[in-house]
Order: sequence, then C-alpha cells, then structure tokens
Amino acid sequence: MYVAVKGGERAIENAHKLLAEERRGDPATPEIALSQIDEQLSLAVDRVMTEGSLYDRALAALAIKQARGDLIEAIFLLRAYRTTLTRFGASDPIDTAKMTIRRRISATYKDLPGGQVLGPTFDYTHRLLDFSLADEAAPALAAEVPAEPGSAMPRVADLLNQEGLIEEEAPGEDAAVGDVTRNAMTLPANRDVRLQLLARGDEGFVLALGYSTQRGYGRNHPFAGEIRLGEVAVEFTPPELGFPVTIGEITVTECQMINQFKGSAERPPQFTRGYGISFGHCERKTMAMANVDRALRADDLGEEVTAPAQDEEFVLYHCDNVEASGFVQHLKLPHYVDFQSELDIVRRLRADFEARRTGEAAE
Amino acid sequence: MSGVASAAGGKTLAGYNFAYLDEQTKRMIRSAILTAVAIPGHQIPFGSREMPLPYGWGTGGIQVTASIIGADDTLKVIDQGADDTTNAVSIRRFFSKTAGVRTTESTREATIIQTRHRIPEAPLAEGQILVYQVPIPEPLRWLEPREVETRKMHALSEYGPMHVQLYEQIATFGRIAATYDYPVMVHGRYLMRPSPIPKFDNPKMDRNPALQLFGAGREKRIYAVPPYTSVKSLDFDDHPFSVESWEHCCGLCGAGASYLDEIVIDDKGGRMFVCSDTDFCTQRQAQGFRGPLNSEAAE
Amino acid sequence: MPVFEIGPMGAGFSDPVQHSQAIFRCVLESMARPGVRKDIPAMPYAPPPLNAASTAVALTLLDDSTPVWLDGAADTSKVREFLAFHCGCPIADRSGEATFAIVAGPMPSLDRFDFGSDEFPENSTTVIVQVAALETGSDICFAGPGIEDFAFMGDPGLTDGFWREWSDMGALYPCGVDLILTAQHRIACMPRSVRRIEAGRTAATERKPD
Repeated sequence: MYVAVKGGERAIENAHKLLAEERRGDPATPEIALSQIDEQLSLAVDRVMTEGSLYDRALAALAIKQARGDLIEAIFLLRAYRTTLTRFGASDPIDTAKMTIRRRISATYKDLPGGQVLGPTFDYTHRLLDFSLADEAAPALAAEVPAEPGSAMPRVADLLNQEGLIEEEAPGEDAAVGDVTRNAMTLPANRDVRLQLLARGDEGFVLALGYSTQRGYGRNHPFAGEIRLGEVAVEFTPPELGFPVTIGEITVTECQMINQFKGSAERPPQFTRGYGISFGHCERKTMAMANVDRALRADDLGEEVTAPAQDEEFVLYHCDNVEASGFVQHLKLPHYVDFQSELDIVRRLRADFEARRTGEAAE
Repeated sequence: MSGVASAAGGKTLAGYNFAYLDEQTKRMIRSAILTAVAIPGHQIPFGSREMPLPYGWGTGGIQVTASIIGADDTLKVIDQGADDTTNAVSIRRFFSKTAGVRTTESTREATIIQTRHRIPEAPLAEGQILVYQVPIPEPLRWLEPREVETRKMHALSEYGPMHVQLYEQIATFGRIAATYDYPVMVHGRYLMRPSPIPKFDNPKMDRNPALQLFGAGREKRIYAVPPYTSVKSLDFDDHPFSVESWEHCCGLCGAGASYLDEIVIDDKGGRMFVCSDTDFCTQRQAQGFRGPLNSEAAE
Repeated sequence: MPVFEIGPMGAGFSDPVQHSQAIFRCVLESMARPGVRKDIPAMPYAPPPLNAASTAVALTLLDDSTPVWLDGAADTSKVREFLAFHCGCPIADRSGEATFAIVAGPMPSLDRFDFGSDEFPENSTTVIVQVAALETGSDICFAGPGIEDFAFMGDPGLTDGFWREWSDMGALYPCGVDLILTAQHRIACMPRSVRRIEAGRTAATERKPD
C-alpha cells in the first residue's frame, strides 16, 4: 500500500548535516581562515560586498566561506543579513576627486595631471598558470613604492568640463536620493535608482549587456575616460552637529566612460557620460556598468531605444542575481498540484482530438 | 495593559526582532496591506526585503505573515496542500524559530494559514487569514511584459485582451486550456492572479468569510481580497467556467470531491489518487472514512 | 486599562512590538470588515485632544516615512511633540501631501486629501477621524467588500455633507481615501470601497457587483 511521503523535517535536517560536511571537506586539510579569504581571495570579497550592498570585509569573507565559494550564494547571505541592520542615517556623498589613488588610468589622454598609475592589475600579465604559486611557501615580492604619492589627480571628466565639452552633472540638491533596498522601484526610474540597481546587479549580466552595446546593440561609442581605484573617506553629518564627521574609509573603484553625442534640438553636440562604481576593486564590473548606464540614458538624451541594454524595464528587472537565482531555482519546489491540472487538461484535449478524428473517419 | 497576550509564549531568535522583520519594515508592509484591503484585487508596490529564504520560495507570503503575526496566533503552512512538504516545513520552522508561535496542521485551528498553490478543502471562517505566496502577481504579464503598460491597462480596466486570449484557446482547443493561476475579476473592478492554485480552488475564493492576502516578494507587490468579496473566474456564456474532476476518489479517505494528487506507484502504468490536502484527508480517515487502497478498509 | 504618563512626552507603548502588532490586527480586521468595531487592546497615554484609539493607531502606523497632516483641532503642541518623539513623522503643511491625516475637529471636505491616481490609487491619504461615538445601532447601513450582506452601526456624528461627499467619491473608485474612525478606545474603518446604503432601500433593490 502507498504511504504518503512523510518526514520532510528529518530530511531537511539531514540535508543540512550533509551540507556542513561538504563545506568542510576533508578534515585533514586545515580549516580556511576568514583572514585568508579576505587577504588572498580579496577580489571575491570585493564582489560580494558590492553586489551584497554592504561594506564589511569580515562578513563578506564569512559569507564566502559559508557559501563554499559560491559567490551568488554569499551575496544572498550578506544581503539577508544587511536588511536586518538598523540605519541611523545616510552618509554625505563620497568625493572621489579626493581619493587616495592606488590605480588611475585614462584611455583618452596620453598624459595628464597626476599621470597614469598602473597599480595592481591583471592587465599586461601573461595568463600563464604560475606553478610556483602551487607551492604554499611561495616568496612574496615587494613592490616598489611610488616615489611621490599623493600629487593632485583631477578627474578627467572635470578637465573636459572646464571646456564645456562634456555634459555637466549638477548635484541634485533638493531631490531625495532613492533607496532600492527600502522602496519598490517605479518606472520610469530615475538615474539614482538605476545606478543603485546596476551597482548591485550581477556582474555577469551587466558585463554581457555592456558588451552588447559595444557590438552594436545600442552603440554609444565609449572611451574609458578614467578608471580610478583607491581609498575615500566616508563622512556623516549628524543633524545635531551640522558639520561632517569622518566615520571611516572605504576602497572604491570608479569608472567614467566618455561617450559621443551628436546633440539634439535642445542640446549642443558634446560628450556624455556613463558612470560605474563599486566597493573594493571590481574594475570589469564598473566599466560594464558605465556602458549600461549610458545606454539606459537613451530616452533622456532623445535617442531611439532599440537594444536590450537601452531597455530600462528589461535591464532593471533582471539584473539582480539574488532575485534571479531564487526564481530560477524555485522550479525545484514541488509543482505537482499545477502539473496535475495540466495532466487533466492534456488528457481531455487528447480525448477531444481522438473523438474528432474518429468522427471524421466515420463520415 | 489588558487584552494583549503576554510576550511570545515560545522563544524567539536571539539577535533578531520578533518575527524577523524590523518594526519599520513591518509598518511599511502593514500600511501596504491596509491599502490593499481597501482596493480589493489591486497590486500595491512595497519595499520587499531580502529574507533569509530565497526569492521565489515564498518571501512575499513570509513578509506578509511576519507583519501580521502575533504571539497568540496559530500558524499553519502548506505547500501543494500538504503540511509536510519540505518548503512548508522550512517556512513553519522559520516562524516557530523567529516568532515562537504555536503551529498546527489543522485548518480549523489555524488563525493564519500561509499557502503555496492550494486553498484548503475545509471551509474557512471569519477571522482567519489566508496568506498566498505569489510568484508573478500581474495577471496581464503573459500578454504584456511591460509594467508601465500593464499598469495603464489596470487603470483603464482594459481587460479585453485577456478575454481574447481565452477565446483563442476555445477556438483552437474547443475549450479554455488554462488550468491554474486562472484569472479572476475581483469586486467587478480588478483583474487578479489568484497565484498558481488549480482552477479547482477558484470558486473557494468567491465571497470567502476569511481575509485573503497575497504577497509577491521578488516582484514587490501585495494585494488582498477582503471577506465576502466577489471573485469571479473569467468565462463566456457559451463556455462557462468549470473545474477539474476525477473518475477516481481518494485512495486513502475515499473523498470524491477533493483535489487529488496522482501518484505513480510502479513502472507498469500503475497510478493511485490521493487528496492533495493532507489535513483534510487525515481528518476524514480519523472520522472512519476509508478509500479503496487503504489496507484497513479490507479489515 | 491603566494609563501611564512619563514626563512631558507621555509614554508610548510599554511593549511596542507586541502592542503595535495587536493594534494593527484590530485596524486590519476593521478595514477588512467595514462596520465591525474593535476595542483596542493597549492604551497608551493620549496627548490631548487625541483619544486613546487615535494615539494607538498613530503609534502603530506612523513613522519618518509617513508625513501626517493635523487639522486645526489636532494641531496642538502636545500632539506635535508626542508625534515627533514617538513616531518621528514629519508634519505636512498641506493635507493633499500627507500619507496620513488626523482630524479631531469637524471633518474637512474630503477633496482636501490625496485620492491617488487611476494608475496609483494607493498613493492616497488615510484619514484618522475622531468621531462622537462608535456604537451599535441601525442609523448607518453599509455594503461593499468585507460585508456579507449589509453592515449596520449607530450614527458616528458625521454630517450629511460628509455622506454626500463620500457618495460622490465612490464614483472615482479606485481613487479615494480610507478612513479610520475612532472614539475613545474604539475603532471602525471605512475603506473607499464601502458604500452607504440610504435608509429605505431594501436588499432587493441593491445588486451586488458580479
């Protein structure tokens, strides 16, 4: 006789134990320390902080460890923790012009005030597996410290702005900045909301869309005006004090793309901007984000919307990997009630079909 | 302060608020629920939060439940009609852990029932709240993928295309082929998705004495059907709405008018049918009802 | 029901999490079943001229994301201080910009409030209205969602002018405002979907929507 499947509770508990065992791996291998993840898988930590919308290296490292290196799962863990945190206010906008620069490159000028600073980059490495790293005691190489750190490094976009060649972006003084983590998005979305969603958006998705604009799906002729990596101060103005207090320092990567614009009836020909930013060092992400940001401005700039990357609703509704991952994977949940309904209708339709055929044959 | 139950009877999760959500989030969701109740069938956008369960696994229903539940509530959670399916177990555990509330498998005892894909067979009563988990709240979504457009269609009550779609099914198949998530009109004004319940359950929504709340976490929408509100499944005079029926009765309890799950019992085409609502089936068996495949029937 | 007063601000809820939940459920049930009157289970200190129910609803639903408008009677320094301290809600200068409104004096014209739009009817004002009484009776008859056939209640003391405006507003549905009526420690709700049935009209002449 059939016995209904019982024991969901026990099955879940057992699955959790198996998962814990798999996460740990062979107990003969030493447990990985959070500091090792933070220090030696630092770009994974950067990505998890960026898409998890929470700047906390230790928590991101913990999430990566708990998620067994599955970064989307780690991002989800960090986000679920983040929502429970009390917020006591919003910081003042960070000023990336005052960044302590570790890397700064521009593809639009051969040289410029402050110079090009290559910094820590995979660029120009030959992608040859370095077998010496397999040796756990590989000697560390000390890099040369630049002789003159801290000379002024104006932003490239600001240099162009002096000539009026690039669109001016005035800070919105009065308008409250949206918050996609607290309010449902309404469309059309403003640029603040778009940039927040793109910054949190899945790197793979944003990369593919950014790439598509370079292949003609919403082409907007980007130049990498500037990419900068470094530390910026985070300031907060307590209402009772009325002046800003520095509460910490974060590492960010910022990319400003400079894009062609032919001008319209209302606006003279000038360069336009696409903007990307991330916590830590997520250079690929910020560049792709800047491409997509510019593509999404098509409507504002009076350009025809023809490509996926220009389609605000399509991009913003599908760029979040925590949402996407959950919904794709929910297909694992039982659907047998609905499937039963489908079985019922398919059987009826087949019976109708047979009856029709028999009827036709009889005529 | 009389009348309020003392602090949660059970223990709650250390480091987290009662029922997980912070009070500010609960207030935001509560306001959305009140407005949803005042405009039956209309989807209210809300600032859905990341929950510790994945999107698509009931986060909308969980946020609604977390915002309404109190220490003296009794919670029932079902998935596919069953209390013991893994996701139902997981959600029930979440609330016993974070809110310390009493849980039950009995439809009658529950004050709040969170459900995925079914409405219980036993009639609900005044004062009960049924919380649906909703994957896609927009009934017009397969006709028009754009939110901006569907919002206009609702504003103008422009529901003709949905009728056309159903009529095309009749033209092609001789009958309406939609079987679950079958669209309904609420209070004669809003077209609404009932969530992926089988159309078998649609008639239970109409003028139900319980309050029905719908939460879509990933899509960030809440909507509601107050008690005794008209909920009509779309149909045509010459093709009236009809529900699934089976040639079999439940193999365990013999019920002839409940929604049945089909179970494959061998690799030779053997099938049996049992109630999808496990509480309903268990209650009937306790009352002595037996189906043809229940071994005790032979005794 | 003991009433506590601590300092000039007065106390809020002694157990904010459980009390606001319990009061929300009262509001939810009254909103879902117009005509049903609920006594609130927790009594905070009420800054005059607010009654206990209005105060409890304010503590439950208002915060820094909900601008509130106060009518002339409710706009006292005690009320302002209380709301600022316990709810942190901004006070709206204009009734049309408020998410919530509290009316302690005569009911102002309904069209002072935000009715929302056809696309976003939810962007409307919820008005907490202090009325003379919320008693059983048969003076007022309601029909609409949440009501099995008809719901009755005693006269809350709203004017004929108000009822005319309420009826006119019905034509704009789904746009409109929702009311939370309060009297002492009791509440009842009038969602925009509820219609007042005039005396003399019988069930036979009233057709329910399909």
